[in-house]
Amino acid sequence: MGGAGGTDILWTLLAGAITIAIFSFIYRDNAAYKMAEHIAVGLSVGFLVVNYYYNVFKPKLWDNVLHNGQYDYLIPGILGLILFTRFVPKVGWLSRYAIAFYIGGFSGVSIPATLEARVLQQIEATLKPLVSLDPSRGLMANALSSLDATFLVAGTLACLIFFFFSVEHRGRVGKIAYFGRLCIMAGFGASFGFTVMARVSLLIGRVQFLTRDVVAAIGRLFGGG
Amino acid sequence: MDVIREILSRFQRLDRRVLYTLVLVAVTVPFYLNWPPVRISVSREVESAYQTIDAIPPHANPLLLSIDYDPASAAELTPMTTAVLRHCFAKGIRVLVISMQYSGQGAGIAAEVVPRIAAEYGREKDVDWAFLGFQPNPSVAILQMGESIRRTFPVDYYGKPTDKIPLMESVQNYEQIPCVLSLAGTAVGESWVTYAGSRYGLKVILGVTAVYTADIQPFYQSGQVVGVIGGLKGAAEYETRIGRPADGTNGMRSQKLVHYLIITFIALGNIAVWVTRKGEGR
Amino acid sequence: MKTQVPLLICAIVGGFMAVQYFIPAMVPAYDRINDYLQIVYAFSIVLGVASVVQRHGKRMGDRHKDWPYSLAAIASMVVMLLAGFIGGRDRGSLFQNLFTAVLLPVQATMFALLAFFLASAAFRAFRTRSLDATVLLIAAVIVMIGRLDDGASLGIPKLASWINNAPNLVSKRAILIGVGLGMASTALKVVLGIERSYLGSGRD
Repeated sequence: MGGAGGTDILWTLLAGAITIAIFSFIYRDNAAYKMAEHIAVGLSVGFLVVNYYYNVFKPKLWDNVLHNGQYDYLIPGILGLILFTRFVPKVGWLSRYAIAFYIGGFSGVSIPATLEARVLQQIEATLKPLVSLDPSRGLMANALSSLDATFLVAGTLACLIFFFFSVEHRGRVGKIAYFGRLCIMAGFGASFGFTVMARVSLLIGRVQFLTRDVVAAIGRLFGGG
Repeated sequence: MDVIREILSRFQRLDRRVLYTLVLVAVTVPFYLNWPPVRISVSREVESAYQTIDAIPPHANPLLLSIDYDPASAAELTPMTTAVLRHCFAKGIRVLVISMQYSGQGAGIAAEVVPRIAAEYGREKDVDWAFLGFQPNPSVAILQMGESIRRTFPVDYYGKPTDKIPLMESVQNYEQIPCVLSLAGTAVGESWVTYAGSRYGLKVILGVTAVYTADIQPFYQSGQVVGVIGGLKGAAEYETRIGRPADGTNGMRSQKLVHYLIITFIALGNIAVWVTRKGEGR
Repeated sequence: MKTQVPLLICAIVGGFMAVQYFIPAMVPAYDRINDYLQIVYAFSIVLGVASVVQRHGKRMGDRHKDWPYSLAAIASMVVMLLAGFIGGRDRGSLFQNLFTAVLLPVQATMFALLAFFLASAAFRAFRTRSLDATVLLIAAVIVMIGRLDDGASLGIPKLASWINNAPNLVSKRAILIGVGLGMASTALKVVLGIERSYLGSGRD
């Protein structure tokens, strides 16, 4: 944390105390945990408002209208204010104009981009040559490449067929869908393995902070320097 | 056999606080004992991320670093951020920092981490690095930056007009950006691929939490993402690559111990169920 | 007025934003609309803030049993607002220190608790009752060990890498394609006015 040495120690100790208050939830719900949680809610709301003001409202709305003479920026300003009519039931329907504006904008922009990035380019990447005949590589390397490419096409198709519920999964379709299901299970297994890593990493981060930074701060507080 | 069955049956009803204590001990002990030993080999995904960043000429167009995560993912992604910044600042690669994390907390993290690491290498604000702040909606902001970064960020995080920042003199839009590294705990990284990569051809490197590492594979295989740094292990690999072990590397011992602990829990839980069911004739 | 005009706005803005992807000449107008969208979106986030303040204010007014916590929430919000608007946001400011010393630890620690719950769930709930669950479990264990670069003599890191780059890749790709098609079709339905759930219940 930034600040002069003494205040730095106090901020670190405060962070340590807050960390332990949250950890106390493991034992049971308690006042310290609830208080820390609610203070964080308040701080996060204040943090958000301040940052939105300095990063969005002031440069894009306030400065453009008042200093740059771009009065068309009053349009989003008015639309944004209209959103608050949601709190008044009689005129709450006006907020739909603003909601429709940004829902329409975000939806429209996502149509071509999503189709290109998530569908077309993914399909293109799947349809690689099934037989690898690179003369600079050995027979084994080419064979493994070919197997990889075949698995890629077959596996992707099988997984897509598994998710296609308009056709009953029986007979040949059932067998292909079952292969797809096994691939999906392996994929979810990989995801679970990574999830374990992720969650443990979060705990490691906090323990690292307590055993290193907080202990050092306590040492400096009582040892001086 | 009945005794074993009885023990395993009681074992299934083990108090959860015993499990929690074991996990806490497994995380804490390695910090004091420097045990178990770990070996960190750099994966091809992290190597390609490193090579892409390393190829940026010093004191030229900047790496675009987008800190798109909030404190919930900080334990995994801050070590990555730190490692990449150290790589850049040590080599003289300029860094343009932004944030697309909607609540502004990514900007708060950037405001803390970037100046601290820059100061380690004596790098000058607005010349070697600049922090432009955050924009709330990634899809719109990423698209807008493709036309003009200054219009997307008229002022930097500290209120200085972007036009007056020396680093921004030669930077208009993505054409002057060699690549973007997005550090994200959510799907914001995919927004970079979808909007910046697909439409503007910008090279995208993703630093993601371990949870997303598996989900990002299709983008890496298709070439839409040129490098992936995944989780604390990815951070440790990058630290190894730059030759400066730090929080990522230090955390891997605890990671190893807890992994084996959880595998043991799963195995014992299944054995206990299997043995007790066998005893009940099922 | 209440339904037709919003649908028209949605269709015009959505249609414009979809078409501009292919027409470079539309860039200046599109750039402006992007700014407008950011501003309106920012207002919508602040709307959420107003809801939080309203909720906690009501708890205090009704003397709910947890009203002291609501008071703490409102008070800390006021402190943060004053710190940010008066003291600035530089490193070392009260605003930044409150973020780093309070907000960051709370959020980080809350998510760190998940490690404990995951360990408990792994012990109690992860059962190999079927072939599917067994495949999932074996893949998980191999990835967990392989990512630590352990078991090299047994080829586990290579196997973990293969699991990540083969079955995991194909399954995630299939999900990605399916979700991409779903997202695009839902977005198209919104723009065309077929999907109207964002307008609310319609009982206004």
